[in-house]
Amino acid sequence: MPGVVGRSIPRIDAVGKVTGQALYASDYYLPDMLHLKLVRSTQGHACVSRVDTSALEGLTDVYVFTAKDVPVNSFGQILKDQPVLADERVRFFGEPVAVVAAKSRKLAIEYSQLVKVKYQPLTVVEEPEQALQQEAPQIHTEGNLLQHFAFQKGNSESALDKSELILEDTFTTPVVDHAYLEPEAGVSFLDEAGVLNIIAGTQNPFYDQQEIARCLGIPKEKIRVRTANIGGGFGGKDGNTVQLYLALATWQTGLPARLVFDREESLVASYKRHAARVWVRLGFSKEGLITTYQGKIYYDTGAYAALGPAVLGLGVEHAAGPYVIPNVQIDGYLCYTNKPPASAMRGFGAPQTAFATETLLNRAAKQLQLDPVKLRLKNALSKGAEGSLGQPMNHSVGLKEALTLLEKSPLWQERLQPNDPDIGYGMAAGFLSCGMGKGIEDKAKVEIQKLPDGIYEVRIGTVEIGQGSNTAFAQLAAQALGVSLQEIRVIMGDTALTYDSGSTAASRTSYISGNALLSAVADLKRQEELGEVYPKGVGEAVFPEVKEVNLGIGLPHSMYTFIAQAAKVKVNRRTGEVKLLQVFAVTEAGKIINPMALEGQIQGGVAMGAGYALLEQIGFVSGLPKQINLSTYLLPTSLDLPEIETAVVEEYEESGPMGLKGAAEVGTVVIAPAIVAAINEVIPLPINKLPISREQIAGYQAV
Amino acid sequence: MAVYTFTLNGKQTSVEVPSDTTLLETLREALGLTGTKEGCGKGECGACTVIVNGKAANACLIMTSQLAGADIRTIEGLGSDGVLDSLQTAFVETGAVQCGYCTPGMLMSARALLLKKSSPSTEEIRESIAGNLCRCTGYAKIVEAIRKAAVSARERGV
Repeated sequence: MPGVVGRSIPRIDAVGKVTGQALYASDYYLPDMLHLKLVRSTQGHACVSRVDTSALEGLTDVYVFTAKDVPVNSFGQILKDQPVLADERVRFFGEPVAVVAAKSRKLAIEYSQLVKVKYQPLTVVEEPEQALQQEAPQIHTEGNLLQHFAFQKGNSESALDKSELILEDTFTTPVVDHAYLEPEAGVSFLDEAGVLNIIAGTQNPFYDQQEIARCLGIPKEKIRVRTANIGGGFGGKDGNTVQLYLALATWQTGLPARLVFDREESLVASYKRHAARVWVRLGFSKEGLITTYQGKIYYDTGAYAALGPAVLGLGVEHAAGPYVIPNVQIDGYLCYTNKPPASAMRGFGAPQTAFATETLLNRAAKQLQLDPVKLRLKNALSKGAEGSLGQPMNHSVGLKEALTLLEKSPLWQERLQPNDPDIGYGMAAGFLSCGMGKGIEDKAKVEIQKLPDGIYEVRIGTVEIGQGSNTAFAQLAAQALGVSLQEIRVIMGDTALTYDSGSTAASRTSYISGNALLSAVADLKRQEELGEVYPKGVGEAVFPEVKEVNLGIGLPHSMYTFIAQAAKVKVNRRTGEVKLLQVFAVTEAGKIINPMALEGQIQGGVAMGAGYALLEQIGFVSGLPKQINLSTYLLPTSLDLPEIETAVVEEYEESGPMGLKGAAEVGTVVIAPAIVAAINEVIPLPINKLPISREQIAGYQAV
Repeated sequence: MAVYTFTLNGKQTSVEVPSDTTLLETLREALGLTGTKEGCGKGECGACTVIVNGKAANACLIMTSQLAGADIRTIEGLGSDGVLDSLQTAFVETGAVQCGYCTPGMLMSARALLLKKSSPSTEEIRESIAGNLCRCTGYAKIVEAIRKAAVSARERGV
């Protein structure tokens, strides 16, 4: 139906969700199922000398599995460096050592406590700096430096010599958690045909299917993985959480099984956002043009690689910000430590480096006596410009328009007439790539079929994790077919019913599956013209790659989404409390398919970024996590967050489905430096560390 | 095991469960009402919020044995005969739902507020859901939806 795209349409799954009828992975209870409990390491780094399960021998209805039950005991998206169940060594607190299966959750917990693991503690590697020292214990045989990425463009040293202003500083960001409301969850069972079925909260069922086949030696065609409704993902359900343990238990016993992490397990042992230490030096001309970016970036990937190398890649790619900079020199290091594996999390490596660069830019604006928006307007990327890694901006680039909208906003105008010395205003700009990047397979295949009941069934291999892609796809299909939304049914993320279209990550889903969907509709229309009564169309799409530049796997990208965000805060100088009063967030993401849904993504992204700025962190002492529940790991509540006003720069991305670009992650990238800048309008305290310390603010003495 | 009887979504209900069973376990596992979600099991996230005797409560912190004769309302009891309650409608239309996992608990907290106060202020709305964590929405559209539902209920004279 024309006019479906571009309209604020309620989510197609909203009614199921508001009535409690929508089933999540944790809502499946199967007859006679086993409840699984993982026995987890109590040490940050240790040799495992013995896993003693003898206390469970002779008991009925209890099963226990250890490393010896896993034929190929290693997995990982990029490197196969992580054991399914730890064998001779544990490398982080909470690492799974054994699986216990029993008839009830309570029994599984009780029995799991009877498994005795004997450890010989090893020195814990706590930070990347320590990891890189020669005498540091080697967490993996190949050493603690997992990846070094170096890039150079122009001549940054001579450019600095000619610069009018040079600023530099070192910034640190903490380990944080996705903290989706639904912890990692899934169920498994054998169907009548003997096929192992897994229903799980996962962002990539096809990857799960492959890993289960490889690790457990099960033929791929005997494995079906599908998604239920997923209670949030944000990157944390991309990889193995429950899937391999469920597969192991059901394949070995023939019985259905359920595994749901409790909140402590989720906080302590699931994937995390990389902690980072970033040193940046910026050079400026008298007019405020950025002449030079130099950066040394250390990302802490924890005990296993997971998606770490790709996250460092994006950290490096976005480090210098969305600006034209002729001289660039970056060194990025990815280090193993004895922490839970850090992997994908909304913004994927970009928020860490953006905090450093945007904070320095705001300091530069002050020294150059330029409005921070003006400083960015002078340097902003535009269509046809060259990004910091030499990549061409051949797609829609609405950054200058976004900055101009922000400048004219009531929030930013209010800043010109300040009337409360405790209130400050700050802003930052950012971008985030869409797609997997250079040299990484990035394609989708979608099928659409007209059924006898008149419904068009769209089958898409990517996953609905709450972001609303299912509704966007229904809108695209309805618009392209010229039918109503009620005539579209969307099936997603099922290895038996959909085609492998890669991970639901990298702000790629709507773009790549959307393009494949439109191609499938075109194919269906051809069949229809040939007189097919129940036509079926199949369409494929491949993400465009940068041709001009090749910097190794994943770098750079061919497309970016842009933002400019402003924050207004009130600072309590006595207690150090920072109250976020208002946020204005501008986004350029090509054509907006569903304005209400986009606004929800941006508001949610800002909320996550505000938590990053003000509240959240998991600290570690000798490898042991300090925040293990939601009373100590603090998420923003309804009382912490303000009204978040959004605006869009509507562009049209020629290569995107009906003009769109990905937008689910970008909102998280720069609100932290905007908040820091707002605080700095009240007190000129250098803030180099997230989360922002109340003690530091309260302890600040005006000179 | 013991038998406990209470009113659940307007119907007299009896369940036989061990005395250390929480209301959350009773709802989800004994009665198959999985609309009430578990996010932490410790009263920290609000995903399991239900209404007990007119007040919002975390089902994970209440023992079923404490509930003899109580009046309990869950997400399954919001709305009737396939017709959405005004809050549910507002959540759908406003875009207050993303992943949806916090939604049932959020709706029950909001319903408890509106039972007590038909014209709450924005501050009262924010306070009423302060114990319900949401990681997707930033609460903006949830607050807006509750405000809209309150207004529409007033206009209809409910």
